[in-house]
Amino acid sequence: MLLTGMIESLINIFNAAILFYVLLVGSSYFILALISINGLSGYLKENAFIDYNLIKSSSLAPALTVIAPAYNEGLNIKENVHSLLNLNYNNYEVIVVNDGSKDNTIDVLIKSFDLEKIDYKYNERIPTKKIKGIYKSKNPAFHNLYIADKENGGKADALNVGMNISSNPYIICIDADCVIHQDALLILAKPLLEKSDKYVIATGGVVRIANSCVITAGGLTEINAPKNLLARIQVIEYLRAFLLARMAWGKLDGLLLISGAFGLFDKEIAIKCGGYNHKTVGEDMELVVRMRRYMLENKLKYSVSYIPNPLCWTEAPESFAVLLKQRSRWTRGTMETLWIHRAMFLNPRYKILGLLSVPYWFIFEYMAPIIEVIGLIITLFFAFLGILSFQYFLLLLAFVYSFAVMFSILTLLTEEYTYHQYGRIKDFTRLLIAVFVEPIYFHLFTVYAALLGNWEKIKGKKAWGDMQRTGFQKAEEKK
Amino acid sequence: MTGFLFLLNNELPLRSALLYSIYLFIGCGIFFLVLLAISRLKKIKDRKQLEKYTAVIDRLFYAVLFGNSPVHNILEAEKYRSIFKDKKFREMLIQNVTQLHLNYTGPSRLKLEDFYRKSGLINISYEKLKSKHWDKKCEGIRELSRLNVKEAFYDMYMCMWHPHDTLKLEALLGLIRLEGVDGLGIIHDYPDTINDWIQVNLLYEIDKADFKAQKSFTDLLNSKNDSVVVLGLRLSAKFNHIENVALIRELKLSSLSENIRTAADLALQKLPSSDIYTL
Repeated sequence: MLLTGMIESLINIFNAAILFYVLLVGSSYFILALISINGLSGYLKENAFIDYNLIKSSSLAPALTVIAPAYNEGLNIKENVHSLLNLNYNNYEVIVVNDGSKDNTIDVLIKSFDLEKIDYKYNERIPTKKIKGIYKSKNPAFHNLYIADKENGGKADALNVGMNISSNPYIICIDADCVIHQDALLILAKPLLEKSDKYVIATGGVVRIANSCVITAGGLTEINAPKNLLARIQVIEYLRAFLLARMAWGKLDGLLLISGAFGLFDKEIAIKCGGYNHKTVGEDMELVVRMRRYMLENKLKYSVSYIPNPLCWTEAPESFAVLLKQRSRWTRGTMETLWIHRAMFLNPRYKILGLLSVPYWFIFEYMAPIIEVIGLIITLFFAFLGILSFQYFLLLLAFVYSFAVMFSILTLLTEEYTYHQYGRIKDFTRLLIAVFVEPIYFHLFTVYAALLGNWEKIKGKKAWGDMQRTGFQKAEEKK
Repeated sequence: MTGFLFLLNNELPLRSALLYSIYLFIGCGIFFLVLLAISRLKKIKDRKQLEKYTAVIDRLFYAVLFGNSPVHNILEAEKYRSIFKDKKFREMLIQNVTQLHLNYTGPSRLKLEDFYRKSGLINISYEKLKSKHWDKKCEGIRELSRLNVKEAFYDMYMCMWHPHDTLKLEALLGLIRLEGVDGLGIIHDYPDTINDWIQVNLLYEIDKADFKAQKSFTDLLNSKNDSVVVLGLRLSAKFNHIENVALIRELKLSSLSENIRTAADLALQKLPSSDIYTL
């Protein structure tokens, strides 16, 4: 009798905990979405009166350096560098850092851009791996292009090399495999011009998925929803993250992450903070958190801007094997960053970052898959004991599924009202299918990848792991 | 919390709550899909309407610019009378007349201004300027200033004190469009920061309209607002005003603001024959 009572109480506690967590996650998503939609609406209204092109002809345009680390990017590097050199901006340089690629990346670069080694006094303000050589083009058309060839040291190390070489006050760190929007630098420059008495330490833009899109002369010319289901689901995932979550964190001044694929930083502040941390695989998030922490600890006025325009297009993994590596790495990166900056957790000294952003990342980003698996194991245990209420279990499952689908449709609706990038019915239908499939087909996999990330971290894995690229679809290939 | 615990201890209401939540989510999902469909259909309808109206507007402006009929007669014509009642058509007309005004000079430009006033489109722009919404006000300022409605100067000037930055910028641009560079004299006691983004816009507008500055920028250079001084320095350099070189040199040497010192230094480098003052 007593035992039955105890089991009943345990079941009740378990049900309460699971339901409470689900409600908390759902409400937080919903609140963030409302803040984002409000922010997007204001941003787009304002944007209607802005002509970014006038920055192009202005002598006040801030000087920028685009840093693109490249590791085994031989397949796309030529087009990507061309795309970077053709951006609409009058005051920038491009630094490509070949991070000891095992493929023909450096040969492709030398041949494509007519490069020659130059005498360059490398000022190692941030310690990095050895530089093999710095190249410039003999062709004056590429006068603003620098190529640094270095020993392999990882993405963070390559970005630090770029920072050391950069001669400009602002750096834009990108992935070499990304396609950047033609006006991206103009759009990024605006918050820098708007600053008055505070530092703009970082600005992030939206990253979108370029699979199945058409690239011509290094620029995106046709936007399509990916044919590959896995990549298509990631479109929904990215839209949800960038449009309905990060926008809100930007509005709340609690942004912890600026995607490594595309972000602008104040070089001096980044260097004072020690540059990218090569001991973590989540160097993008870690740098933003460290820079913000530095500003708060030194009581310096600063801002971190977020731009919801689709400024950067990247290739998403199309196979589970590659996706697994990426997602487990993301989990390790989150763990490492949260651990390094654990002093910020619920610490009022760090304002909204300490009181909201860091706890949110810990509870809802890092812990979510772990709690999910614990819940699943206990459910299976209850089923094994024959005390599981299948009706309640199925209802809870349907509750979560219907919320996930509804929220993803809200994401599509937001995209429709804001940037309307997937105009064709065919693309929309493809995305809608992905919305219904994602919670079953994709979500469980990401939970597994997150657990793997935890396991790898416990085992002490530090490597990034190779990302196999299939390359973008070129206009001529499409023909 | 009590309600939550009650729900957990009583399976039936808990199940009902879950079930109704599922219905709610499904309902919301369907509602969002309907909104999506409506948005798409509206876009298709707008596109068709745009094509139709563009053809009508092209014919109308051809008659305005190259015909001899008065504006009143043109609008009274059967083919325009009914369509003119459509708000969207009038909005498109305003956009077109503003755009054409940028492209034409001389008598054609005056004809467009005349059309804007006599057709009553000016009243729509005034309504926008008087609106409570900052974005509508911006539209109003843009239309009225581009079509050279000098009577709107004061209303635009008042918008400079609005808390919204974009509206402040649009008001400043409007004042420049109406009064040229000399119109900027009124900002010498402006309390807000005129950041670099605003200055980029102002300098671009001045370049675009090829304005000439009659007065020197002494007022701006003596302003208590650092950002206004920086603007004054940039304008002095742009228009090669050497009258204030001594003052600029003083600013370079003694200003407490780094921005002013940098801008003064740049201005001195650009100003011709400023070296005779700096020797």
